[in-house]
Amino acid sequence: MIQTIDHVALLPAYLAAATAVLALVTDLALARRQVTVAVTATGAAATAVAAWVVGTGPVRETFCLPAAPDACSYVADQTSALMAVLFALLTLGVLGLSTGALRSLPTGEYCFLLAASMTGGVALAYSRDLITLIVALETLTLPLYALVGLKRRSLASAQGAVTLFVVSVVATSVTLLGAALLYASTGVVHLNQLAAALTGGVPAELQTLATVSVVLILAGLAFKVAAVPFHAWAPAAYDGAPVPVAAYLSTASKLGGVVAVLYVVVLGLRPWLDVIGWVLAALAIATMTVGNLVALRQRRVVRLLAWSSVAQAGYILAPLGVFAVASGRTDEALTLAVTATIAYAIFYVVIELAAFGSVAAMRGGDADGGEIEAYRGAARRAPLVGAAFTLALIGLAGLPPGLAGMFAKVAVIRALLGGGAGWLALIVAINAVIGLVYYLRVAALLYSTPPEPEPAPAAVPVPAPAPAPAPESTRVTAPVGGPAAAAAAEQEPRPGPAAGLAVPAEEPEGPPGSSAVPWAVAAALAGATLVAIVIGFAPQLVLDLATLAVP
Amino acid sequence: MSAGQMLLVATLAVPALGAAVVALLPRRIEQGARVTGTVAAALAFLASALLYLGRDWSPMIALGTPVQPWYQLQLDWVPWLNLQFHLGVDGISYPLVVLTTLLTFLCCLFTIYRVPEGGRGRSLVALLLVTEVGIVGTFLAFDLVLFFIFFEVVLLPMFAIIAFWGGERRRHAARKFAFYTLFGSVLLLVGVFVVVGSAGTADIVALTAGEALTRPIQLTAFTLFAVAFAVKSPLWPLHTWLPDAHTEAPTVGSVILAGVLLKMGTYGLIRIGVGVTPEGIAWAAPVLGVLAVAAIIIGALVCLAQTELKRLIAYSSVGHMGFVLLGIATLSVAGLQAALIGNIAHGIITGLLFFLAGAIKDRAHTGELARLGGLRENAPVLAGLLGFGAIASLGLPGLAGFWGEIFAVVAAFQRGDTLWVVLGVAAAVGAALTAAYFLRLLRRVTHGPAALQLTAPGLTRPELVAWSPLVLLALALGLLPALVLGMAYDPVTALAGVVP
Amino acid sequence: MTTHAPLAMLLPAIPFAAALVTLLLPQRSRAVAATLGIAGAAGALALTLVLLLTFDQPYGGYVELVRFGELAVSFGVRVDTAALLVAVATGVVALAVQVYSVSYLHDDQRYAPYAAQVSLFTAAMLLVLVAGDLIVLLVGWEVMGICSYLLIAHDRRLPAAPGAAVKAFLVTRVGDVGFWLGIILLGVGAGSFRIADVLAAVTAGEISGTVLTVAALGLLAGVAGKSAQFPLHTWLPDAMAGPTPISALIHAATMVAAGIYVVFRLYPVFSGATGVLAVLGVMAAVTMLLGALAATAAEDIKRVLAWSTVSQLAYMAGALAIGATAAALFHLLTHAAFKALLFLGAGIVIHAVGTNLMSGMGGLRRALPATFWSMTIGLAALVGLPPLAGFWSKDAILYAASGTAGWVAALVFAAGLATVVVTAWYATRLWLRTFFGAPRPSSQEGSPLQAMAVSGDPSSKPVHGAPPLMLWPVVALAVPSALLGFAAFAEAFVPWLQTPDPVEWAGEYVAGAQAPVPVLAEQELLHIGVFMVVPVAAVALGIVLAWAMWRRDTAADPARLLGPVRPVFAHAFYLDQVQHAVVVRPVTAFARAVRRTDEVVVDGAVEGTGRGTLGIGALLARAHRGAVPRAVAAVLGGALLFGIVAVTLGGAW
Repeated sequence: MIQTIDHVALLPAYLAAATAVLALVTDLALARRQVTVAVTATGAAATAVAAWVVGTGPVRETFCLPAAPDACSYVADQTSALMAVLFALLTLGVLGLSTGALRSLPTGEYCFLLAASMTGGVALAYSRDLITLIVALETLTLPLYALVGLKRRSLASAQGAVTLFVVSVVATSVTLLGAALLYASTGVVHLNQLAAALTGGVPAELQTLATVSVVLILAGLAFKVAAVPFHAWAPAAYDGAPVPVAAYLSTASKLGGVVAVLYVVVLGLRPWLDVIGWVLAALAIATMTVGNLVALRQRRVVRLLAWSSVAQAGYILAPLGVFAVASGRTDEALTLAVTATIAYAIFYVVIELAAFGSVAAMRGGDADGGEIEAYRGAARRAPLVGAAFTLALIGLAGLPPGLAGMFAKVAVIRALLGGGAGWLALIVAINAVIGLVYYLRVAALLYSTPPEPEPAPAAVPVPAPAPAPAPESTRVTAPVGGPAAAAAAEQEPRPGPAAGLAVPAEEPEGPPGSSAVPWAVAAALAGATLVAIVIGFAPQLVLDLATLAVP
Repeated sequence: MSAGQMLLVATLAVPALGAAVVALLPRRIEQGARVTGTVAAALAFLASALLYLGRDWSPMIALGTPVQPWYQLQLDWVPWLNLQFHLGVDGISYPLVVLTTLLTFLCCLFTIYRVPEGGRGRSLVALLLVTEVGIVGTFLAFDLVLFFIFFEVVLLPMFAIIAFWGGERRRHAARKFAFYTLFGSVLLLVGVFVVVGSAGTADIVALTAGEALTRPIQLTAFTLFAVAFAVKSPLWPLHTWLPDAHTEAPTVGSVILAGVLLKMGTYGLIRIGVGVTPEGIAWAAPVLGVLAVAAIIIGALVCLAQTELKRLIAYSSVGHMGFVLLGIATLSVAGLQAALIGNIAHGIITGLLFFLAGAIKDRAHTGELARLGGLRENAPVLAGLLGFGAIASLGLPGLAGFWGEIFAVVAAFQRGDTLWVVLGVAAAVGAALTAAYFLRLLRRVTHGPAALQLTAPGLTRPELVAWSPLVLLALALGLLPALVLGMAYDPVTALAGVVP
Repeated sequence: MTTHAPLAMLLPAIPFAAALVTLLLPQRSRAVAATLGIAGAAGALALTLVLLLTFDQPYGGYVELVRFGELAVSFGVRVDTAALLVAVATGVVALAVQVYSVSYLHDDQRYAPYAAQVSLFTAAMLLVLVAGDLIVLLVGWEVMGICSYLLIAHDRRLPAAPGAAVKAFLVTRVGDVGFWLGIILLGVGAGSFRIADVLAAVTAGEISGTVLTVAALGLLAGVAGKSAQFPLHTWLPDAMAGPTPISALIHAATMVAAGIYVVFRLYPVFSGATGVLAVLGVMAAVTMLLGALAATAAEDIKRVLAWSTVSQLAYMAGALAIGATAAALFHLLTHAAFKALLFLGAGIVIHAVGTNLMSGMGGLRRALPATFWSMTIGLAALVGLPPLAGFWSKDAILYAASGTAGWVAALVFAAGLATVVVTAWYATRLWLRTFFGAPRPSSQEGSPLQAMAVSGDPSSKPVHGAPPLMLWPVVALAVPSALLGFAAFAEAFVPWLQTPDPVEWAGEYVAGAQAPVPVLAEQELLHIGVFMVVPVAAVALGIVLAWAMWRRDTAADPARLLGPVRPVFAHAFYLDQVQHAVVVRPVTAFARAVRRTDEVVVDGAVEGTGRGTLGIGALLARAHRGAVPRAVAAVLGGALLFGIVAVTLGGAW
């Protein structure tokens, strides 16, 4: 049985995969950083263009079931196109941000892994059955373990990679278990067939099984968006990873999770919105609340952004929580909710990219995010980057002048109230207040004057810093004296399982923003910021896209 | 685009552009940047003042519409959110707009001369201009969502003004201001979309005219609005951000905060609370009235026991806004008018008082009442102005503060039932208490032997220039309240007509 | 018929303009300030006289200021003879005070604001007099309050001045709460704040009895505050801390007279409300005696005069209470003349000896002859010696009280007669201790008399003991103090003092006003007969008693013979202390408690929410340490939890 394969539809995926291969080959052949990066960037751009072009054409389907020609595994419609473009562009942006860090990272591997992950993302965008979807999602995730652990000589990096890997394996197995059980109870894997099967009704004796399977699938996917309680990997992984990889984790990887959830929920499980509605609502509430609350107490920038991105995942999922109420399950409310989720996701990834881009630009090289306190007055030294960072933070908080972020939140509230879930809207609203607390703390710090020698601490006789347990310091972030010192120095200690991995002291950090920012980093940051400003003033663009892209 | 529409846009765009230019000027042009910003503020003031000329003179009651802006500008912005860029001005908003542009102009002018400790003056001027955009936008917005957006625009610049140029506990005060106000405004957002979701439009003109909203929706929406506006106004017991913020803010920040920022809340109650959710506000009016009177009495008593100059003036705002809110709560034409003129009067007088308090603190290096004294011995003009400000603020008949206070009480009496009469009596007692604490203030600060050596006892020319318009306005409005209320009579009457 | 309504509107505007211009002057420009102040007062007086001379029949005019809902506020004036007569008194006293102050405050640094405030004070009083709208009346009423505050606090050397000023304003302001409410009730009830409309509504019975009574009582509270009637009289004696000319201004023709005048002006409101006049009568009777008795033991010459003002005002209030409105106004006018004289004269005395205390005076009749004779006339008028002004007006009140039925009139009469005795006693005491006996050493170095005594140089002796600018007003005021009483003989004078006829007044503006309350019958100010013996005998008794006590020891205070009640009188029955204990201290304590509550409870809740949120955040953050095992447990646990919930609740779907 030969299937006809629509290669035009597959073009974006081909290009993405080719990018990965080319990156590796170029690096092996030429071993020149710039060329490898350029090749990868070109590939990502080509992927985006191809996805866009294919998306403007008619809907193309391929890998369909011979028995049921409308049940296809790979569908190139507007939704897929938008998502694929987003994945490619995010990869491009992250690649731009990486140029600083690549001076000390293996370029070829890095580019390959990034492109491979992008391939997973693009494939995910086009996937329409559970198996393809999970495989694509894993393709998206797998390279990330390596990327997170790519920083040599870094305990945190290794630790983050391990955390991500272990938790991911568990979560994937949960998803797979759910998918298997669902197949067992319905006999189908294609999303549209699943919807039909669930509409027709599951046999009574399989009802429980189907319910459990649905919940398990959602739980596994929730891991990808780092929703509470499947989120605990995120801070460790983000903070351990090089800053650009953290940016990728919090944008593209998270988008992958969102796409997967959307496809599964809207295309496959739609008849069972009453079952999954409350799951999504509970996930959303727990995610934003816990994310925001924990973010309040962070001292490291990337950890703070990590927790904030946990909270943001809550906002992304929140519109879907509207399915928990009956009035939220009408077609109209569903369209509103899904549009809001997609729109929020788009707004979010742009701003988040700008935020991480600012961190990368301020820190320079492959330095990690560092302590928040180290950013004091940074915007006075580097006004443009500081402004971009401030705008991103304010955007994440959802306040003017971060109009993009504000409209994102407004869209969520609009969708929730359109679906009659006012209580959920209130929870979102209150969470926005908590969120402002930590975003504002960082933003204000950027413009604060450097600390004058404060009389109060000086009055207390402080023993001279002993060499082994380093006292709490605003500058030193690298674990000088091994895990014990790290534990003393930080609020969330990162005790390594293997003390032997303790690394020699890194170079002391220069003040943020002191070194010149590589042009690619600047370009990526400027691009993200500009896009954020434009969609801030013209949010209808994003909302139109999102409306078009409702699966 | 008609001339009126251009003026509407100019009132917003000029300060916005001014802020951008000031921010982008090279760093070394410090004084020039401040002057540039001040010119922008002056142009904005001019534009807003000119709005009056081309207004529609026809009596609007005949038109039968509850809201009839003099001119409007209506552009689609975000259809998905029912958001239109819909600006307009009428007799209710016009005085507030002009007050805002005037105070901002005076503050910018003042900043040319004196930059508070904490940062560069150019940034302060830019932030003041952005704040102005937000406040004026709030007053001009005729779209609920747009109203919300402008409402939010104010938050961060004001946070920055307090946090970077403020007093010793500025961080804490600024954060408290930001979080508390945001808490209110997110509820506003929810309320806005409760209305929009139900009515399908966010156009305030349309919403005021029609009966698009059912009673339960109105009650829900108004509850949310009320909390938002109560925080901003502030209404007891949601007021505690105010003393901290006003006390710690730099002089110009306090002036803007007390002068116009608080009015966003009361304006919102009038424009949206009364206009869009009349049944809601009618339902909640007794509660509002009780809280307003509680604010009057409690504010006065706290002031009576207050020991710091700026904090006392800050707390006095709680009481004064209590009168404004009492006027609104009565929902009568007289009450709403009292609220409007109370708003303006409080803006002018408290603006002046904060200028004076700042000047005194700058010269004496302390704001503690116990350490001040004898100001009229070593700074007679300053003392005289402080006396004038205090007397105006305590509601002396013949000065601006009087009309709002007495007619809030009149409006309460007009309601007639026991509750409102009791509220009116309590408010009148509160007015007497207000006199008590202001006289106590004067006695501590101006009378007695000179307690402190002042650095510069005389009045500088910039101070004179910045303050004298406020002094004149306080007097002029006291003698001719029709300056504000004349143009407001028709719109307020029409608006009050929608209340069941 | 001539209508001068625009001119009448100008009446308060003249001194107001003078005040505004003076305020803008530099503080030390004395000459310009003095000129403006005098010109303002003189201009107002001249205009008043013009209006009075051209007066034909009452008229008014309104310019709408603003509308609040259906209620309009107009800058309205209503001119009748009563208003103009009181305005003449105001103008004369203000002019006298302005002239006198030029010399009295010759070395004051802050003369210009002082003169401006006096002008403003005059303007406010004139506004009250001609106001045809309750709100406008209230404006003048309260501006006077603030001017009294400012002027009482003027003297920088007196530590008591600021406190006395605050007290003056606050005590009257407490009464004004009632005044506000009264005005509001009347305005809301009548649907208009125009006095004409209000009176029309009252006469037509449109305002219900209870509302009217409450409104009248409220107004009465304000009147008690302004006119220093018990229990709101406590501010007046302390107000002596102000410069002496200010005392004259406040006591004679402005502030305190305003309260009486307002009752007069709004008389139908009071007479229409049940029981309010009785309250006024009791208040008056109590105040009359209280003030007079407090004056007997006061040592400060100004304080004696202040208490006498309290007491004399109570005469007017008593007259109003029994319906003798014309007599009340008559007494107001004569009192304005002699009380201004007495205060200005006392100012000269104080100026000469450098102390307020009578223990530092004595034998001044030789040093200050003109002052002595003028003050003698003033004191004689005060006690009511015929044929001086005070005799006729006080006699008219007592006669009216004796001829009116009812317990209120009897009470007023009894108190009035007793007060005559006491008044005569304390006035005589003042006269004797100040001007007779041996000169006593002054308490203050450097006073003119001291200098004279030390140097013994006759050339340094002041010609009249007083600068001419201070003396002329005193001498000038002696004329009306002596002769004003004879006005009662003029046929035309009596109707000039009639209360406004509400129907006639309202008729100008309100169509169809009807059903008048019975207007009081034509009143008599003059009667010559046997009854006159009674007050004269009472006066004689008081004078003789005082003289007898003084004669025993001309250097000592006759009040020493009051025995155990002397401290009670000297402390004015300890009402200050009562007021402090019952009102001031509780309010202060309550304010402190409220402030603490506001900071600890209300703000505490807010701060607590913030801290609580941060605390939860910290707890949660701690729970997230030790990433890997807990993370895995969380994933599995979460999946399990969701699964279990889904299964257990699954049946529901």
